[in-house]
Amino acid sequence: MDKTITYPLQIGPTHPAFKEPVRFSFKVEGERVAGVDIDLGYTHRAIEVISKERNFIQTIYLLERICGICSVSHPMAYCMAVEDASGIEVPPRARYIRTIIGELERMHSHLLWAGVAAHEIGFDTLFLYTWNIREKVLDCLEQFTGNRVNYAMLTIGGVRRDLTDDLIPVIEQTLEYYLEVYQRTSEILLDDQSIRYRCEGTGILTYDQAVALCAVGPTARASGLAKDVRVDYPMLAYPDMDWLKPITPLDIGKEPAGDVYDRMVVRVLELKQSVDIIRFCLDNLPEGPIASINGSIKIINKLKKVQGEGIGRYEAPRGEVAHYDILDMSECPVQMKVKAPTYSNAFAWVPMLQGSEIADIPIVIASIDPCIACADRMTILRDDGATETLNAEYLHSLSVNKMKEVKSRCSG
Amino acid sequence: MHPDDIVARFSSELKGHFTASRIQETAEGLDGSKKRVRLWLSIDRDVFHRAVSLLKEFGPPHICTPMASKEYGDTIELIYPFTMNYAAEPFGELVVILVVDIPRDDLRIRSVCDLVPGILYMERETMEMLGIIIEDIPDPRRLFTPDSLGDTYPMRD
Amino acid sequence: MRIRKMKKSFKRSLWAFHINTGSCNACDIEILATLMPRYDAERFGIKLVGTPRHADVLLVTGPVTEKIRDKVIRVYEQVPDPKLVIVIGGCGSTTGVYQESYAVTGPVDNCIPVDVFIPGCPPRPEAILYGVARAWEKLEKIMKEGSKNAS
Repeated sequence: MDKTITYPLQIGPTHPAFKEPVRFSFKVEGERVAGVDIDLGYTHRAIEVISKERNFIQTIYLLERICGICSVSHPMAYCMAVEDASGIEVPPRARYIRTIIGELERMHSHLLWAGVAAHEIGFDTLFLYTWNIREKVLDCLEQFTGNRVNYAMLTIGGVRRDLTDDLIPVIEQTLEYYLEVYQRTSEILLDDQSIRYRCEGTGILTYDQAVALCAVGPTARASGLAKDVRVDYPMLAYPDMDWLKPITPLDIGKEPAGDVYDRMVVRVLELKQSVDIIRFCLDNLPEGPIASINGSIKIINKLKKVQGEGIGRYEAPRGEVAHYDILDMSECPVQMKVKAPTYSNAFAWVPMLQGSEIADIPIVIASIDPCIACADRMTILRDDGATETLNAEYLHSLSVNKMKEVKSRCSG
Repeated sequence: MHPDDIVARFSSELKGHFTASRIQETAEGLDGSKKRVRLWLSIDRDVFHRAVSLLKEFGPPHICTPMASKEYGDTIELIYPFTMNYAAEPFGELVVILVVDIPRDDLRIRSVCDLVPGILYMERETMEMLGIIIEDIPDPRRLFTPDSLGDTYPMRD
Repeated sequence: MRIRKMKKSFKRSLWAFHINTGSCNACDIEILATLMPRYDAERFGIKLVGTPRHADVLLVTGPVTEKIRDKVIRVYEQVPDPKLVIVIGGCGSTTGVYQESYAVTGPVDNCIPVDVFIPGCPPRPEAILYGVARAWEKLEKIMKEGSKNAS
């Protein structure tokens, strides 16, 4: 006799993401997920619509607040789109400074992700450890830009603050520190037996699915699709780095399986890659001006006379950020379309979650790095209509219990 | 993959329905040796599905941003930015932007979800933001906006 | 002076529930950073809990979007009395950069009563700690008055 009960299960809806917060409705058979539906739009703030009433400079600061973690990536893509449409040049020094900030941001974001992922599988010591070493890059960013999170560094046609000589040793010390801790961090993240047990074979996205669903960033690269905007599409300082390659699990000699572990591998290796990129930029930093037009008024006056459209793309820590801007003789963008990486990757959740266990849901959802601050509240709706609330604590304890089980199996 | 190949294939296959093309190249890098290439293709609405399947012959298209739009008098121009030739050769990615005119009194276009499954969210967004009906879309529900918005389309002028 | 006051009020640990009402995640990661070893709010007994029913304090970030408004009110009602609401970030206090948006119905005090506002975009962890300490004092005061009224 089959005793498996099929019931719907909901996560959300106060589930924070950048532009696309998610509520999941699962169909669960026993412990296995049989069907997934995703409901977006709870933190839809209509940024694309408000930007029609903000001028080009105000829009930069509005876009910085699409996502507090990719707060450089969105303005970067936007500035490149406007520069593409209007033909405004970016001086080489500004390109290099932009690259350095973008890579520092990638480092803090990947460390943040590693901590959140560790928390989701109940490895809280690692969570505290990675967030503690992450403070170092935040200090560096704060000294460099004046802020811990929203940096306000970019402007159309360049950057707003120069990388002065006294800042270079600060960044170098930070890189030195990360090279020191890299060995230990990567050992914990990649070789720890309990992490391997929880992450290997969980949340699989195959190569074909990644291509069809237009997955981006580390999620796509972990599935073997070596897609990286920094390497595919020439922009900023990246065309000068001939050695730059998209990172896939093949770099540690592992056939890409597209599971959570592979996503971890890609992100850990990218930490090292970011250090190399920043080193290159510091060694080859060109002299010259940091912006082609000085002053916001001059920029707006120039853009007022432009008609055209442009596309700007940048590889954010989570994947491709793309902006499409239309300019039409006005001081505000006529239309601006934004694509954040989770927009593309949210689709990939469906094949990943299909067939996984309930206890694995948090780590699979977190594995594409959708800014999981909390997978906060779940409700199980039984067929008889009674509602039972599964809160994050319960969900977390399920995950933690699975971890304990794993540990006893590892040692036993 | 050269943009001219795509233009040649489009003009031979789509004939009169393929109205214009524009290639824009920008030099990048300190020595200016790398090229950033964008290709704009204007096509008729009737052959849009066919055009995407032609594009697919050159490799899997990746949808790059949600559809942008421009409004003129009695038509709305819908812009589909795709990228091609990614993950192949370094700095060889090509941005292909398909531009389709849709008459204001008949706001319909065919879905391409069967060719590019990842486009579903963008099509759902287009439906709620612009009020354009996507035919044959597998999932026509709202994506971002609350139901209370009714028939108002925020991205329209 | 303030430290002495704080010492006096630290009679029990303070549990907080965090709800995101459409913020950009910047405040959310700063809340987490406050709990991490560098700032270590947990040494004061401040702890994030997973359900509003265990919480003394509601930490609200974000400008309250239309789709989430009902849920915010529901979460507020689930927090047992005495309770306090702390709004973290500029957009929760004034809707900030998101004003004029059709999807935003905030600021937070449009839908639930707020006790402490912590401005900043995002506020620094020190500011969050300070704001929580202020809220704590207020909570102790409410409890003292409550017990006086009861007796």
